[in-house]
This record gives sequence, C-alpha cells and structure tokens, in this order.
Amino acid sequence: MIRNHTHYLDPKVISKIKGLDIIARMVVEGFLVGLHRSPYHGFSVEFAEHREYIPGDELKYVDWRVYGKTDRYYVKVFEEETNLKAYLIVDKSASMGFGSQGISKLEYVKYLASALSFLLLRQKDAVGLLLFSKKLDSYVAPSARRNHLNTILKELNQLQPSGETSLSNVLLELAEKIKRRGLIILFSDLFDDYESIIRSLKVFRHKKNEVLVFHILDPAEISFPFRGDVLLRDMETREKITVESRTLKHEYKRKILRLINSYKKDFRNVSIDYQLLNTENTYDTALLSYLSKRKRMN
Amino acid sequence: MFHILNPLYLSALAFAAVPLVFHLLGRRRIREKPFSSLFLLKEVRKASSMWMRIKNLILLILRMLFIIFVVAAFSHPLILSPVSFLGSEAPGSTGILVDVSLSMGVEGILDKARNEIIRISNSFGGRSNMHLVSFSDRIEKEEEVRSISNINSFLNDIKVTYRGTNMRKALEFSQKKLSDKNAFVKRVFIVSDFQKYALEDLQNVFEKMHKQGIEIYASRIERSVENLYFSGFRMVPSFPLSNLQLKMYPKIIRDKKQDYTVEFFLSGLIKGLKKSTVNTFFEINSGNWGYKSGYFHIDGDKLSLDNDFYFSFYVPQSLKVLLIAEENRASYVSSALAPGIKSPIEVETLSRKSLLGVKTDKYDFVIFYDTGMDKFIETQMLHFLSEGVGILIVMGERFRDDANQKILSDIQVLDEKDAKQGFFSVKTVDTGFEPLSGLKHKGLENLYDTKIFRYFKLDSEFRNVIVAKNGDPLMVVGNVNRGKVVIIPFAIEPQWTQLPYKAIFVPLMYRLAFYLSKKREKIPEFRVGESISIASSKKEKEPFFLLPDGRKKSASVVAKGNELFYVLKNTNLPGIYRFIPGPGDTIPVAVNVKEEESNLDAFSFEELKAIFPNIKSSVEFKRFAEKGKRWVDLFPLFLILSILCITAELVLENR
Repeated sequence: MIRNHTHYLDPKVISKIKGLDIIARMVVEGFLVGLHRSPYHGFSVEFAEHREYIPGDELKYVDWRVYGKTDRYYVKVFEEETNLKAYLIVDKSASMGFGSQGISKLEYVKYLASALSFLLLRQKDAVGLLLFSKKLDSYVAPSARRNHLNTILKELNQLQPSGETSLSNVLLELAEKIKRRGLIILFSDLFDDYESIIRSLKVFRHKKNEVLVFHILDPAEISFPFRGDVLLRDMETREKITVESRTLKHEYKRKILRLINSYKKDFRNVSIDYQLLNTENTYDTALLSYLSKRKRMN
Repeated sequence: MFHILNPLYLSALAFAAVPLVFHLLGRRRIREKPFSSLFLLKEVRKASSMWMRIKNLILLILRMLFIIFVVAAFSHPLILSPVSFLGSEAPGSTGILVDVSLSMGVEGILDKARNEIIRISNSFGGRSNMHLVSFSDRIEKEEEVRSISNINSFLNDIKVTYRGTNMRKALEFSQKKLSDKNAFVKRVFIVSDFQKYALEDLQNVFEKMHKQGIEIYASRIERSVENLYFSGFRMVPSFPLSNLQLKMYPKIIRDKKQDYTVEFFLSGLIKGLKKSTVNTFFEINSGNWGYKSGYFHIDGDKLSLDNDFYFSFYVPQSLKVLLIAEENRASYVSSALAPGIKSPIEVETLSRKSLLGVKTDKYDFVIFYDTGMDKFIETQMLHFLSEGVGILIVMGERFRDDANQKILSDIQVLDEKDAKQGFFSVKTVDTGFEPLSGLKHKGLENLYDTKIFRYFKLDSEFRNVIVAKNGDPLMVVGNVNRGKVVIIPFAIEPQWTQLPYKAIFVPLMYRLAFYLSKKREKIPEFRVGESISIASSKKEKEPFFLLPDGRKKSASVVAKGNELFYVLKNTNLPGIYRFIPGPGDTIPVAVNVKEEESNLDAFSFEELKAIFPNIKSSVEFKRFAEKGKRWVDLFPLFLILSILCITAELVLENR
C-alpha cells in the first residue's frame, strides 16, 4: 500500500495520470504515507483525523478514548493552524518546455506546484500563483479556502511554455506587489542573468519573505548527451547554432555545474533555500525541501 | 620514367569526390534539435568552433586521400628504379603460339618446340601472365597458364595435326587476348618452322600488334638434315642424250654457310649425275647404265653420288624401236633415229604382216608408219599400249581410206578430202610437251608442201601440241591405257612434207623417241596419313617397315590377283620409311608432307625479318623491359599511405 502511494512520487508515473487534482492528491498522500516515521509528523495543531498507531508514535498522541471503545490504538492527527501566505512563482518561459525524458520541465513544475498547493491548502495556508515569462502573465491571489485549489489547478492546467525569460524584472515587479511577508516558492530553470536573479531575490529577503527556489533542470541540460554535429535551436529566442558536441560537452558540463554551485552558494549566503531538481527526481525531494523550510519558519 | 600498369583503374579516382559530397550533404543534413537555452553553449562554442572547422577539413582531406591512395595503389604505378638492387621485372603478359601443323610432325621437331617453350617461359619472372595457344590452320587449344606445371601439362597435351598452317588466326587470337590485359610489356612468341604460305597476308596483323606495343618474337624451329622433303620431281630430257637434266622442284633451300646432307627419293630414268646449279638444277652426265640409288651430298659446288639408298633410278643402255612400215617407206625416220652403228637407238623394221606374234616387252616404243587403221592394226596398237609401250603414228596414204572412221580411241579424221597439201605457218608449239620443251618455233616456222589430215575430232585425253596458223593440227599427243601416243598427221616423206630436210627433224625425232620410250609410271608418292603399299611378286618371310623415328612396324599383306601388296597403314610421320622384305634388302619410300608444309617452303629468320621488320628473334628476348632496367611498383607505398590516412582519420574522428 505504502509502496503504491510512493509510486506516485515518480514524475514519469504521474505524468500518465490525467487531472491535476488527482495528481496533487496522490503525490501528497503518497508523500505523507512515506512520512509516518519521519520527524515531520504531528506538525498540525488542529485535530484532523485518527490513524492507526504505529510503533514509534509518541504516546501523548494516542487517543485513549478510542482505545477504550475499540481496543485498538489510534493516534490523533492534527492540522496546523496557519496564516501563512505562500506564493508559487512559476517560470513558464519557452525554455521550460524542454524535456528529454518524456516530461518537460514545465510539466514537472505543474505537478509539483499542484501537489504543493494541495499540501499548503490542506494546512490552511493561503496559496497564490504567479505565472511569468518575460513579464507577469498570470496572477492568482493567495487564498486559504478549500475550493481555491480548483482555481490554482485550473491555471496550472492551462499552462503552456512560451516567451523569453526575464526573471529579475518579474521578481522585482512581484516584490512590489507582495505587501505582506510570506513564503516565496520559485520554480525556474534560472536561465537568465545570474547577478540579476540573485539581486532580485535578495529584495524578497529584504522584505522579510522566506524564499525557496526550486531550480528545475532537465537531465540533458546537465549531461549534454548529444553526439556529433548538432544544430541546436534556442527554444526562447529561436536562435540556431551548430555545435560539435564532442568537443563542447566537457566544457559545457563544467560550466553548468559551476553555475549550479554558484547558485547554491550565493543563495545560501542570502538565506534563500535552494533545491536543484532535475525532472527525473521524485517529488518527495521537493516536498521535503518545502516541509523543511516550513518547519524552520515555525 | 613513370608508367601506370592499370590506367583504367584511375577512373575510380572519381570516387574521391564521395567524401566531399557526403561532407557537403552532411552539413545540410544536421538535424535540428531544440534546446532550452543556448547562453551557456555560446560561451563554450567560441573556443571550439575554429578547431571543429579545421578538424572537419582535415577529416575530409584524409578521407579523400585514402580513396586516392587506394586507387593509385591498385593502378600499379611503376617508376624506373634509381638503383640497381631495387625493383624487378615489369609485369608482363605473354602469348606463346606453338605451331602443331603437319610439318611440325617431322621427327623431333615438336620436341624442339616444347623445349623452346620451356626455355622461353623459364626466362620470365614470376610477374608475367601467359597464355599458350597451339594452332594449325585453326586454334587447336588455348590455355591461360600460371605455373611451370601448367605449361608442362599443356605441352604434354599438344599433338601434331594433319592440318595446314594459318598463323593469322592464332596471331589475331593472341592479339585480342593481350589487348584485354593490362601489362607493362606485351609479347607474343611464335614457335614454328615458319612456312612461307602460312605467313601470307600477315603484314597488317603484325603492324596492328606493333602499334599496340606488342613485341613479336620468332622462335624458328630448325629441322635436322634428315628432314628435308620434296613434294615431287620431273625429268627434263635435253638434246643430246648425254645432257639429260633432272629438275627438282620445289626449290631446295640451302644455307650457303653450312654443308649438310640432303636426303631425297627419286624414281625415273636418269643417266649419270652432275650438279650444274647451286640450288635447283642438276645436270646428269651419261655414264654407267643400270639401276642407281644413293645419297645426294651437297658439298660446296660438288654433288657426289654414292651407291647407297634413298634414291633409285634406271639408266638405260640404249633404246630399241620397232618400226612397222612398208620397205623403204620410213627411211627418213629410221635414218634419223639410227644413223650409225654406235647409235644409242636400235631400230628394227617389220612389215605390217610380220607384226603378229611380236613380243611387246622387247621394244621401248613402236612406230606405226602409214599402216592404215584396220581392226588388226588397232588391236596391235592397243596391245602395245596396254603394256605401257608408247607408239608413234605417222599417217600417210593408207589412212586416207580410214577417214571418217575411228583411228584410235576417240580420234577420228572427219573428212578424207581435207587431207590436203599446202603451205603451213606454225602458230603454236606447246613447249609444255616434253619433246618440244625449249624448241618453240625453231625450225618449225614454215612447213612447205605439207599435205595433212586437217580435221580431227579428239577426246579429252588428246591435245594438239603443234598447230598451224589456220588451226590445222601438226602434232597430236595423248595417252591410251598405260601407253603414250604421238600422232603426226602426215607422212614423213618429201611428197608429203619438207620436214625431213629441216635441221630440227633429227633432234625432234630423238626427243620423241625418248619421250615415248619412257613408260608412264605413276610416281610412287605417299603423304602423311595415307597407307604405304608396295607391290611384290613373291612372298617375303618377315617383311616390316622401318619408320623415320626408328620404330619397326610389321607389314600387312594384301593379295590382288597374282600380285602381293605389303601395306603399312596410317603413316603418322613424314620422312623416309624403309620397307625391309628380308635380310639385306631395303626399299626406301618417301612419305611427304604437302609441298606447302615441307621445309622447302620455310622462311629463314633473315627472310622473316626482311618481310616483317618488327619481328625479333627469341634469342634477343630480354627479361627486363626497357633495356634491362628494373621497375619499382609503387603499390605497397600507396597501400601504406592509404592505411596511414584511414588510421589518422579514425584517431581524429574519435578524439
């Protein structure tokens, strides 16, 4: 059973299922089942439901009343009460449409964002969604209502990659828009001017926002698996260049790793959480990153 | 100096364009792939694009060079070796044509040819391919040979044929064969005894081959002295008798620098021997009479006669003539033939009535002088003729009564009234008729007061040998049965003709006498492939034939009437066969090839050279072409270069 649920954390599996609401539910449930024995359990303060006792659960959460009635051990599961506003900022530029493993980066983000929305709303957090490419294309104001999930999922469902990235401008624009501090979750491949990205994210930190950056990359963008002469077309600018992959590969890999490391280092320096996700990674990595962040925020 | 062995292969150089085409097509065909962002790649590409271009260009050059070098290697470029120890004979293609016509069947000749072919083939290097052709008047056998064992097997298989020679077919065959081959040197060796007739109409073939650079070598197979043959002979009796001449034909080919024994076989009447000309003509002096046989030995200008084997003839002591005539009627004829006691011709005159019971074998020939032509005379004439005894018919008054009747065989005088007297100018003297040979019109131009029987009907065996200007016959000759007949259609008397007063009369009678006394004997002449049949009246004990190659074969005996024939079937070698009826006895028989196939008809090398200036003797053959220079084949060099190219290409490609 557990195995079945965790199975849905695999992007390749999940991509075969239709309906983002189902996907979000499956990913989160699969994730939560896997969390039973993790340190994150019991984070909710409002009772939500009972579940069967598993050795290792703290005894203080055992509902003795239920034990008295049923002779079985059940623990109380609580929902955390929160007034957190989370902003899911999704880069929908054309480069996010790239996918070498059957699932594009944007699709990966779509499922991940859906799952996170589901999780956030379940925790009574308000969730907002911002989609951008060169400019801010769509904005869903944060809300904690249960049916807000549908609004978000509807937006995500219509998501199509298009346009060039101008990440820094959009982030600055967003920084102006978000008045109340909250959690900023950015999904992007970060293919833009490095300094500008760092600078613009710093603005969020100045405004006491928590920032979590999911750096989404396709495996091909890391390993550069092409052979021989290839004519590559930039998915954003449509510019074409012919490259001799064998001679470029090594240097390219070196560069991309250096870029990743730089992001890691510089984001850490400004207390921004950074998580590299390649589209082969299961979603639990991303969800754990979020939960970790959320815990620290508490 | 540079030479390409297989120049046609160079056309494959066009394939060198293939990598270029692929290169150009490949550039167009690079598949376009979308990629999220190129900003990182652009930075990296700046450094690598130049190297990539250079590398692609080098790869293209290496691929093209690989093809060029492979093609160059297989086209076998040759360069003249700069040093004596480097290089080898240039690869060549050789045709060896061996004559297996009848003439090559003479004892030992084909073996000589075989040895010559082995000698020639041994002198080639291993780089010459060779085809062997045996020919007569057609291609008998042909084979591509690669090793000495192939050659030996081919040589063992070839056989002499009974066919003539046609060298043209063999040369054209070889020329075509060599044209198809790529070789630095192309040669044809002709191993033959080079009969003249076999070389007719070859000039243009030789020229064509010369233009194609094909060297032609002649390996002339010389025959040994025992193997010289005549296809025939004839007697030319001259006047007077002491200078009888034997004219041999065809010509004897003789190398003036060498003395050698000539072996030949004769049959006929000759008196004495003396060589009078170097090549073709022998004058025979009167001398001992009787049967002669022996060697002719040509030694300088001398021709000696040894009593030995291989030719035989009979020299008669004198001629005995029977003259049937009325007394005193034929005095001019008898006086002309036997003028005195020492005359070689003895004339016995008998009247017509005394003719009955005369023995025919007693006389060399008979003259019927105006006997007329009744049944009795005709029977007597045919009796003599059936025994091979020649007759001279002199027609006079008695024949007038027989006009319009058959005189002899199918000779008929058409009209008695046409036996008229007149003045005759001679128009034709047939000098091909032996007694008239060399006479032409001498003394015969005009015959005054001649009365002749004019109109004759002749059958095909008879012909006019002296004809008057008005077409009247003055002498008619022919053969009946085994005997010769000469008819003079007028009486040799002053009342009929002025001929007895002419200077030509006595020599003419002499000539006629010797002509008629020579019996019509078929010259025993055998050819290869035929059977030898020798008649004998008695049965021999252990008869056998000795073949030209020394083998013995027993003779089979065939009886025909009273006569026995000793037969050797299917002679397969030309040369002298000896029939040995018993101990101490030998009858030589010549078995000839055709005249054209005889050695008498062969060319010497000098004669060949005069006709075909480009022909070389096989002894001139040099193994290394171009005056002994060695050639270096660049095949390995280009092969190594091509391997280096492909290796470099692979290394660069995978870097």
